[in-house]
Amino acid sequence: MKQPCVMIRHAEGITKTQLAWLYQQHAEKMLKYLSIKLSSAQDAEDLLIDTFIAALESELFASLSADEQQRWLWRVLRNKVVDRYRQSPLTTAFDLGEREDLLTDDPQQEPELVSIQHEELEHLALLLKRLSPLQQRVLYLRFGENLRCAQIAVLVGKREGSIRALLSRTFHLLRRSYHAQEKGDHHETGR
Amino acid sequence: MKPDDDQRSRHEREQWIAQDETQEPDENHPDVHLVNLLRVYYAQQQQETLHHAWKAIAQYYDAALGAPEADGESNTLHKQSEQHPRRHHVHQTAQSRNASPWGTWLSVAVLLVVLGSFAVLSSHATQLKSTSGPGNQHLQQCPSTATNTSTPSPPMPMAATTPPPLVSMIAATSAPCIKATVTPTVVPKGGPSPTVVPGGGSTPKPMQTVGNS
Repeated sequence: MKQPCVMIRHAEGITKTQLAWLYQQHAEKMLKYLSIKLSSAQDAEDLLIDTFIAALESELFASLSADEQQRWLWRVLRNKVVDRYRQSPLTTAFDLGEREDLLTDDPQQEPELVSIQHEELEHLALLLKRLSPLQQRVLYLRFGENLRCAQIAVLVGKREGSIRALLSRTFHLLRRSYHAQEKGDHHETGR
Repeated sequence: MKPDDDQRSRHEREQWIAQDETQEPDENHPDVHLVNLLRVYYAQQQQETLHHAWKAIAQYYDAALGAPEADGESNTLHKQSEQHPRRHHVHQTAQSRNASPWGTWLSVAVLLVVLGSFAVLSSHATQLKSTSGPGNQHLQQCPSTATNTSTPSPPMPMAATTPPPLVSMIAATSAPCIKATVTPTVVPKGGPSPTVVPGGGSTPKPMQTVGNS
């Protein structure tokens, strides 16, 4: 996340620096929470934005202490998640492809490595798109959020054994597709 | 590592997944590279999402704040009417656009109302003036003539040289009120006398009242 460098004060309410500090403190955890609770990455981002905008629009928020502000943010976030569940229960697909354009390079790495990793990640994104929404979600919860199979089972509403089997199958499929595509690329470049 | 040569049984693969939860992954394991790649991918996604979200929030903040140099009142973020920066801008633009047409329409409407009321008043005054004979005041003021008429009363010219015929007016209206109030009177000379003019002539004739007929 880019650090905000602008300092703006205004008579009442919250400064941009305070806002940035709050964001730094809570946004990452909040996004993780949203990513676990919601099946759509776009929904997660939207609710994160909505929560902070609600804080800015609240007349009360600026006058709260840091602890109270944290509690306020989490309470609003949870309420928004509940609202989202009510609006569209179990209908949102976890589309990893929608974030395909967001792949960026780490400038600290070697340019060649960056290039290779970028290619690999693009490749992976394409393969992930081919998986079913449930497979994508389980894979994300396991490797994106580091949840255990038992925890994923609770979230997804399946048995732990089913999740383990699903993960195994998905991983096997992904691995095969990944290397098959890699081979195909090598053949193409070999010609 | 030969990735295609994954001859492990399904049970072995599931066991590896279970181990992966609790232990550090073995570097030589065929799936480690893919797992690492997945983790990098998800981490990147999360950072990008955070970055995007921050940009949106900061944009909203700036939009709600307006110009930083402006006074405190305009700087407050407690503008409840605006939900999003885009809507905020649209709202402001719409307000500025609608300001002048609304003012014009309002002034035109006020002008029309004033002119209309003036015309009504003047016509009413003319009517009163033309029918202000001593015996006729009751007729003009009787509410039944004004409201309870089943047949419309004849139109009253604003600047009539001949006053409207009294009998036809009376006949056209409901009788009881008139009968009770109208009494034969002597019409003063020279004054506007509501008389019956059969031929529509302008010469005043002796007055016919209800009681006399």
